Amino acid sequence: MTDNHKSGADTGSDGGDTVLEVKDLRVHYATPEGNVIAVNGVSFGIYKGELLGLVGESGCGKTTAAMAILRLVQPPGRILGGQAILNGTTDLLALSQQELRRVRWREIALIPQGAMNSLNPVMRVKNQIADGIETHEGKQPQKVLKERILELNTLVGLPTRVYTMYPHELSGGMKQRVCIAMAIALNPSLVIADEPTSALDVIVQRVVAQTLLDIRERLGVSMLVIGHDMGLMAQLVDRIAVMYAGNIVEIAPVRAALIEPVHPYTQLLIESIPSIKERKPLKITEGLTHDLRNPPPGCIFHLRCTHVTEKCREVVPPLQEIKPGHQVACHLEK
Amino acid sequence: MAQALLEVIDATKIYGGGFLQGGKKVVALQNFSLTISDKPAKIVTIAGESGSGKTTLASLVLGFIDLTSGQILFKGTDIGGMNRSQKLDYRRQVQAVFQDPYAVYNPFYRVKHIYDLVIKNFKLAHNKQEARDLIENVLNAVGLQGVEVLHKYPHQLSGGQRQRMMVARAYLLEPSLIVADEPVSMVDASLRAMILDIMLRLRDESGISFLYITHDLSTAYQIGDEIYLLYQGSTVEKGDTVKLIENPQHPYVQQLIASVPVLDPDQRWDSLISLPDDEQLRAHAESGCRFYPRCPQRMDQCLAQQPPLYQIDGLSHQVACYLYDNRPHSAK
Repeated sequence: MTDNHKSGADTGSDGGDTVLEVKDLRVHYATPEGNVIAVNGVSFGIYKGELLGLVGESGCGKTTAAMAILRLVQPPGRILGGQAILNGTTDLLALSQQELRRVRWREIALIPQGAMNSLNPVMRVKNQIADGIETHEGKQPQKVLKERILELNTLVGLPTRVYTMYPHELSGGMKQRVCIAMAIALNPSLVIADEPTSALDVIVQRVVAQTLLDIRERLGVSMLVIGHDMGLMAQLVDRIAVMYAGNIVEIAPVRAALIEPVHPYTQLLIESIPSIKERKPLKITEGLTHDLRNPPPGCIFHLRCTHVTEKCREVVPPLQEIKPGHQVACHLEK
Repeated sequence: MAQALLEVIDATKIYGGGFLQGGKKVVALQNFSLTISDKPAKIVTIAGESGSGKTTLASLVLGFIDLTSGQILFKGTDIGGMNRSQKLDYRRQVQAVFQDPYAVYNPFYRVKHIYDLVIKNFKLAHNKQEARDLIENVLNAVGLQGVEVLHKYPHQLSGGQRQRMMVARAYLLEPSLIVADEPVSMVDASLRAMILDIMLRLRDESGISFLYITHDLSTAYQIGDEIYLLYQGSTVEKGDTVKLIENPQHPYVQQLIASVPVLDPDQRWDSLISLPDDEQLRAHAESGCRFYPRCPQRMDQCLAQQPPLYQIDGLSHQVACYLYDNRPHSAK
């Protein structure tokens, strides 16, 4: 369970089958004062059996990007363009609603933010999971269904009793694991988990994170994990994509991203995390994210960057590969 | 010993048990004691997971709710028995900063309103110029400029700015104690350090003590002086923050600290832990050690009675666990 599942991850862009390839995704939110550019041309890939962490601060567009992949962006949000190619063939952004229904949950499942509060309080756990399975696969014999649900419960480490229990009888961590069980019920190739452990206590967080790792190990499912906690990401994912104000500024294998981050924003994000291993002076950073309706010219981060040059104010740095599997959007890195 | 700034003595708070709740009782805080000395100012951390009673403690100290039993003394006076003028003084000397910097503002007023109210209620200024100077002064202390923020509406400010303005509001009253209930948990990581730094400066430059309530041991480790770790309403371990976090003694605290994710992918969690489900937890919570159902080192002795606080390292470091049975235990 420790870190014996890195092989697929460190190979970078040239290795492994790609489960999902997102290209130039753009999402805007319409407001009376102009469009909020929530996702501004985001591209990344997720390989088979990999956990990719999408991190950034609140409002950076990470949840919007994930929702766009599932076509769940609600008005006033609008997907302006891009592609999200699943298993090399299907472009999710070009599917009709009917075709989408076939792909959702079966191919891509979602563990939404605050998932544990999304369970129906008057339905037993077994019925909620059965509901999901039967909606997509049609009526099933009770016996088969029961067996499947019990197997799912075991997979996420829930005791058999939970099968007939109601959500209010479960703790937060158990409810979260029921949601994970629902997400993997149809054996999808990709699970999108939006802040899967926020609002849980650290010990419970650790149990849920270990459940996710365990499921990847056994089912080989890929996951896109959205979060803001870099410490948790260090424990959980294989690669990290860092978002700032609607743009990905750095994508790297987790070790490289945390130990030698290249983009000044990634550095700032990592430095600002208080350590529990070493007491040191606080690193104070000024600065606010610009108004997303009105992004600055040049580099998206130049207003807060301490290494800013003339070029940064004028030219947008492209996301380019500096080492195998390590991409950075910064002029300083040549 | 000099008179303490704040003393919580054997405090117990039980919710429910009334007619409407069908007699179901929830013990939120049980025989809890805490002392914050008057000088020098200190940051005292209360840490624990959800349901450990830490916010109940904040509400008790702030006087929002009453104790079921026990006492809270502020500079030697019981806050339950204060008269009107003493109460007003207490309300000035003890200020609060809350978790959610979005919910504390009235969205229809400009943010200046929160300062105007305070100045009016406590008659801090004789005229407008004096009031303006006062506000500017406290805003500068938290790194803000009046012209930048005061005329704005709450939605036009970031979470970090709003939280700093709340600290400034508390500072305006020159309190001796600020109760900060999860002040940084809703602020983005890159802006947290600034608020923590303001707390340190208020402690050192203005002599304001903090009751810092948090679930985040890392921030407590970075700025805290003393720490109390709560588990289901009781102190399981207390002591000097740095010593305790670097060398925890109670099995729960050891597990808790080992579960904080570290920023190093090479130092992953090494073992699987399991959690018993709620039912089992409840069955054992009645008597004995509250941590018994989850404890990897449990003994039969733990079921009989809640363990008292045993001294580990002089007076300051204390642990409520029978593993340290051979040590002297503190009276209460």
